[in-house]
Amino acid sequence: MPRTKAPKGSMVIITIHLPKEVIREIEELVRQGRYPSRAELIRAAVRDMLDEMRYMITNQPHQQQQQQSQDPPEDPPVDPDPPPDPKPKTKTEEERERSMRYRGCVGKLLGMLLANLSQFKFNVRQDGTYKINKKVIVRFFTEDCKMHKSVVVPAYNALVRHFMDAGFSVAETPRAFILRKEIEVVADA
Amino acid sequence: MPRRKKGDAMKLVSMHIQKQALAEIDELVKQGVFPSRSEAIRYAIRKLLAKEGVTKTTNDYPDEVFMMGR
Repeated sequence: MPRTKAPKGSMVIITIHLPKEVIREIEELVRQGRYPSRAELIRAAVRDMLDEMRYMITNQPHQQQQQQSQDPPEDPPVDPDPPPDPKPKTKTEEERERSMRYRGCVGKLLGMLLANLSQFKFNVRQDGTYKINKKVIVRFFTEDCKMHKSVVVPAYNALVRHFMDAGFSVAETPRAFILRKEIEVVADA
Repeated sequence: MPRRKKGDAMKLVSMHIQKQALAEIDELVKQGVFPSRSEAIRYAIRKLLAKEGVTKTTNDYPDEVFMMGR
């Protein structure tokens, strides 16, 4: 990866706390030669994140996605209606009931959010972009659904996948979900 | 995203970053997308590490448990 070339005076110094484990992982990538330095890796990470956010929030193009669209996909496409798992179920009745209840909660929340999406409009100038604070979701899962804390994250993941199935691009940040409805362009007849 | 535990070892890292990038991060913080500038940068780093396949995520419950109509 080439070093960032920025004109003198356009850079500022920042200081952040990072977990030692994260620093170890960063240094491992630098040692492997995938990034020239620790700082360059962090700058690349910030660029990627801002690029994703720009795509989600504004009309600006998503460089990473454009690049990915040129590359062949790494994973085979997921079958939307996969055949039933032939493996025998080992879940207990209690686990199955809990799973059904949690699944119902995710569906209920999804329905509520989709029905009231206009309340979550992110930017008045930009149609089709919404921000849903995680607090709202956590409160629903833990208080209304009495969901255990350990399953909140996978429940998030399921919610995100449902939004993606519904035609949204989703970016998850520590505080919120940003949803962007992909608008289909229909050519005039 | 779960908060870090108090006992987690943290290290202070200083680096240069483009003013424009910092301004965009500040705007995202202002809009409530991230709680703070640091959290935004940590999020960006975690995402990159995950993309590079360095960070291993643990998930006790498969997503399918929560998916409907599958």
